[in-house]
Amino acid sequence: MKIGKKQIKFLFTISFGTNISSMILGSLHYIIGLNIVIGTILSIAIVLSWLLNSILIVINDFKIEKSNSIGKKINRLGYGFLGVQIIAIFLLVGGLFLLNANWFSPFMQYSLILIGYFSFFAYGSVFSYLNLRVLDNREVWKGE
Amino acid sequence: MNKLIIVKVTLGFLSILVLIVGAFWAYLLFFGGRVLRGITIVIEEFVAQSSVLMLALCITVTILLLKLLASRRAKHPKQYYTIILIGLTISGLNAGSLLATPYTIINADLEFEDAFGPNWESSIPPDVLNYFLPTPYFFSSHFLSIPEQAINLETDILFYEGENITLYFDVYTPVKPASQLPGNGSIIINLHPGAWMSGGKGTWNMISTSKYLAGQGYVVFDIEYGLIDWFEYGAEAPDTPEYVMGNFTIEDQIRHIGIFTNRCESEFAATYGANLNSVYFMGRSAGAHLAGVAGLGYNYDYHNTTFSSNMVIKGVIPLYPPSAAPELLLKENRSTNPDLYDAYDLVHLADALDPSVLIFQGTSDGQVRIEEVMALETGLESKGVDCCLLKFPFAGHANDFVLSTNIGQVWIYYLERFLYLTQNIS
Repeated sequence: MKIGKKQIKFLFTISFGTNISSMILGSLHYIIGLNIVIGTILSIAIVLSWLLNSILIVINDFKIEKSNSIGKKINRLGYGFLGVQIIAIFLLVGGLFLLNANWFSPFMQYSLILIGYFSFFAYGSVFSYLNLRVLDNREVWKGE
Repeated sequence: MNKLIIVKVTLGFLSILVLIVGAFWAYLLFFGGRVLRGITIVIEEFVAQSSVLMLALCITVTILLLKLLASRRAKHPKQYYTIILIGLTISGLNAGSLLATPYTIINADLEFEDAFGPNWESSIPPDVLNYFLPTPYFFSSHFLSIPEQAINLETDILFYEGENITLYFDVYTPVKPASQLPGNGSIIINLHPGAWMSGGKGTWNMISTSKYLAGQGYVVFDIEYGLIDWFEYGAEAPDTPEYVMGNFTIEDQIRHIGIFTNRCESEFAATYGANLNSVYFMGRSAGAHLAGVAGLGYNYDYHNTTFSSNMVIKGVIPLYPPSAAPELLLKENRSTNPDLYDAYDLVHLADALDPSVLIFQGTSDGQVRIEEVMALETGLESKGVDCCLLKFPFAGHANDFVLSTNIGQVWIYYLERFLYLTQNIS
């Protein structure tokens, strides 16, 4: 299946939106507590963002012109994103497990969770935004 | 070799390592530690609780491998797509626990219908429901945790000194007046795990759950009891204090719990605003067995003088409970003193006057097997005890450590409802 520029733009835009939504709704989760509407939308936003971020990295890998200087940067940012994802996962695991322990202060426990959660979506929104910005640059994309 | 290639090879190697760990995680998710034994018994305790994050990790490293092998895509497509397939398969297997969540919820609903009738949900007033989790599982809370309510915590309060040991407890109380909360000051006596010979209050007795319940208006006493110093067990719990170790048997441990109930009646209930007319015994693993003996044996002749007689037991909450005491941990064995053995056998202790029981059990538990716990449920129900067994597919031993996972959330959702429903049963 061929993925055209329009579809890619659509994916990048949705990815940007869901990453931002995940951050805003994630903040509301702590501000107003558990709420069925926010919880449901946030759950959908998290799954969508994560899926779209993954698809974005794969599309980049197939479509980006790595010999071009901007393409090379985008490709490296993709590696960076995977690195951030891995670190975020470890921070979340650490934070969630330590939440039950009396070895660290609550500040430390929640810091791990918040840094893990927000770094992933912050990077995701920046990454999709940068991709959107260079989308019209013909030299960055293969077959354009 | 230039630096970039070294970095790429290292990353590729690490990614493959993660996928191997992911495959091992998936194996433990399905079979627990019961086959391999040894250290896997301990690792199993963390597997299901972290499997969603392992799923994310496996997908991430699969994508990383695809990027690293991008140059081979055209020349060696089979290698390339095989890696995708392996990565996605391992990831998919780690999704088992998450995908089983709807089954867990359906099964829990059926258990509650059996115990409390088909309209059990509507018997909880809306103003009480406002304090409860609105749904059994939010994917978002899995990562962001369940927001905590303000509570008071006092630690290391002495309740017994003698036999060369000292016993302390931690107490979790609500900040708001308990009468305005669903718990209404009901007492939860929380008994830690550790195979009767290790462990302690605090971290390994699930602080998050104690905090959550205190926020709901319960007074949670996380207590110590004397531990058996001559017994050895392969998967002993960490952080065991030296000052609780002694030449004990399970009879002594129940006696220590009895001492706490008497001190609670005479002193601690008034100090912490706790309600003696609504008391629960909750425990994990060995602590679950002790909670069962205390809660079901409260009205049993053998234990007649052990516990305070002025407490009203409303429920028993054993998590991954052994159904009877190992014979070697009692003063006499079953053949020489069958009455003694029976007095520590949960099914034998049960009768129609006993309070309701809510059991947590993972199907991949390598230490307390699901078959044993299902037999316990059948035995209790045959004696006329209302019993709800919440079965968590793929969960192992002690899988309620992280409150916000798909396992922890579903457990808390039904636990808080069980506590409320049973408070009002006379």
